Amino acid sequence: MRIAQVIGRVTLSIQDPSFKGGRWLMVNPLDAQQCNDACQTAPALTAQSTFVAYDNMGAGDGDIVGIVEGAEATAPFDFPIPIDAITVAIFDSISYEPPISIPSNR
Amino acid sequence: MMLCQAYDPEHGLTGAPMVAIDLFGAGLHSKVMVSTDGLGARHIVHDDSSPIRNFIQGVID
Repeated sequence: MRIAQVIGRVTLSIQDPSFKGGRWLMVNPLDAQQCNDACQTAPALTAQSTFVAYDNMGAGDGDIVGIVEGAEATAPFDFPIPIDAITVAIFDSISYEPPISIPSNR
Repeated sequence: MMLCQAYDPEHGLTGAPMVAIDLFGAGLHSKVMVSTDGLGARHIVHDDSSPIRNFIQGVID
């Protein structure tokens, strides 16, 4: 699971029938140094590429969400669905405390 | 759920952080091995419909 900030929504006029009921969110993954304050104040956009994720939880703009990518994104569905990223969690707080002796480069 | 970041002895902690489930009670600052095998992860949580992917395979001595 990766941690990302919701930065927008995508609305489709035509879509695969299996997407019924879900929403699409634009998400920008967080860098490690941003994790601690991310749930309190909106973090800046990172250089990591923004992508679109399927959402069934009702996450909104500015929420910090957990994203699962790859084949596992389709696991919660009992029918075939062509998605490759899905929101699986909305975070309340995140604690990132790297050891002082090891430099953190992100 | 544990927040993990890839470690490289030359460059320190690198890359974006990832969230993994922990079976072994790994503590803060433990060096661990993380697997991204979704099938194995679903097996661990006994739920075939779980989207879980990353799990801590072991704590490095």
